[in-house]
Amino acid sequence: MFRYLRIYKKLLGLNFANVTAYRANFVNSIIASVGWGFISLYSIYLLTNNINTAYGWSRQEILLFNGLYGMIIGVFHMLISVNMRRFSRVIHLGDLDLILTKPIDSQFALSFWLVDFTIILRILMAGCYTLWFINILGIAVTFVQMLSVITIAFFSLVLLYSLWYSTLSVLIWDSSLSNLVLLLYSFESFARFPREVAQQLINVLFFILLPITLIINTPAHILMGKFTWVEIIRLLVLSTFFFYLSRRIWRFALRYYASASS
Amino acid sequence: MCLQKINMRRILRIFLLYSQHALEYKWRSLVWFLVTLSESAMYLLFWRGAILDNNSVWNLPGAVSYYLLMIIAGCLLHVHIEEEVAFEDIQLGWLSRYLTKPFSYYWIKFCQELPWRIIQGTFGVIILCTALAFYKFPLAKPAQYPYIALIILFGYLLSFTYKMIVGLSAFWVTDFRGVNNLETMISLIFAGYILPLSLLPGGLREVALAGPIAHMIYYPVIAFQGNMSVLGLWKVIGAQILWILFFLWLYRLVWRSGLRRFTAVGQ
Repeated sequence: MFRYLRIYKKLLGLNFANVTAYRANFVNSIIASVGWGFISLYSIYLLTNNINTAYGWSRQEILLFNGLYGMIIGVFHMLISVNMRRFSRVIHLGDLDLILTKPIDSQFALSFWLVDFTIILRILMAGCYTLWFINILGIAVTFVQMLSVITIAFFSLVLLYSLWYSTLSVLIWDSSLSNLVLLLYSFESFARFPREVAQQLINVLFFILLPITLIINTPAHILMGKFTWVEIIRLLVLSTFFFYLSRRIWRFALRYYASASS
Repeated sequence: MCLQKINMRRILRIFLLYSQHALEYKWRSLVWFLVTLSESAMYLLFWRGAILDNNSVWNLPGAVSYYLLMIIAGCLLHVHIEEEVAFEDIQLGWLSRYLTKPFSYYWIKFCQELPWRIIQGTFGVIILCTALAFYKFPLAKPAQYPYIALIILFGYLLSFTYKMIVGLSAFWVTDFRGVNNLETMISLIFAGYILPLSLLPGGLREVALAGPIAHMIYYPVIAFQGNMSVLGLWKVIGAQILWILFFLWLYRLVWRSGLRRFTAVGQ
């Protein structure tokens, strides 16, 4: 465990050096990051511009969901999804060989090798936006509440990571499906709305989307003081289960990796 | 005339070859379709809640038809050729092999992109037909179909030419991702994917409705919903023709000056 923490610390340093080495790329990535952060927040602002409530949630509460989504998903994009984007290329070109020969866990190497530091700005933007709506809604956030939100957000990230990793393991069988990552980005967007939005879908589809809806809803409910213990336990159980599942699926998928372009 | 006939036959042959290629990667097309489907479904479900809470400026049948048609428009009319033009042809230098061929680069790319749009659009039509079997919502009258067909055709031409220009910007920029990101962000709002442009706030609405992106995606959807008079349809067709002429002129300009910068060994 400590060995992996040491490796990760080294990777953080290397990624930081890399991001500052190419200045034009750095500026470009910062603009893109701020732009996407703005669009993500502003699009829901526009969407709710003509309404007062949806599924019993006020406009301000929905916007608070969106702010929290920006923060949690921002961390996910900074640390994890940036690695998932190269998943299909690594498998398609047979580069996975090199990763498999390293004396570290292949899932760790594929999931945490890259860090996109430019997304920090996006997370900060979403943080300010969230604070603004906490203020508008008059929510008095206690220290314990804040700590609970951070802890639950960690489990949300584990759940999201496990769902992404399990799905992308399919690329071992068909590496041409590089756009699967974009589909995951799309599905992940369901998390920015109250759970009732996805609940409208017929049962089978809702069952698929249920884990995604827990990712933002549970910390948001804690922040608003509207949580139930059932949803917290559900998140903890599902994140542990899906993490275990992602490990099993990856190991199973590796048996079918044919080295040269899968 | 005979030469034109031979060229047409060759273009058709290229189109069929690229169709085979697109069909080979049909699962990839399905994933692209699911991306558009899930985004539209998400916004539709959100509106459903707002409408059921009785505080929306919109009605449910209108929202259903809008987002269902948006799925088709997103699959059929939203061209994605720019990344290939920028990353493969310009930045990796593959453009050289097209330059040696006796065909226009524009038309080769056109033939390359069209099969993908048709396959993904077909998925959208299947969803629309399935929805029509279970749910009633407003659509245009058959008398308006010829106008709508023209709007769709011009919308596609406009979308394709616009995306080719976006791709050709790689002649000047070292890192195309910035331009690509900016273009995607603008399209997301100005094409009407999130909400109908008529529901945008004042100034933004005026800019969006007059812009080229609305004429590629948004107006074909509105026209097919049956929300436009014949005069309104003609106005859209007229504006589309003007935008196409402008973008074709711009394409020639960008292509000629861009080629002078092209090194053929990658950018």
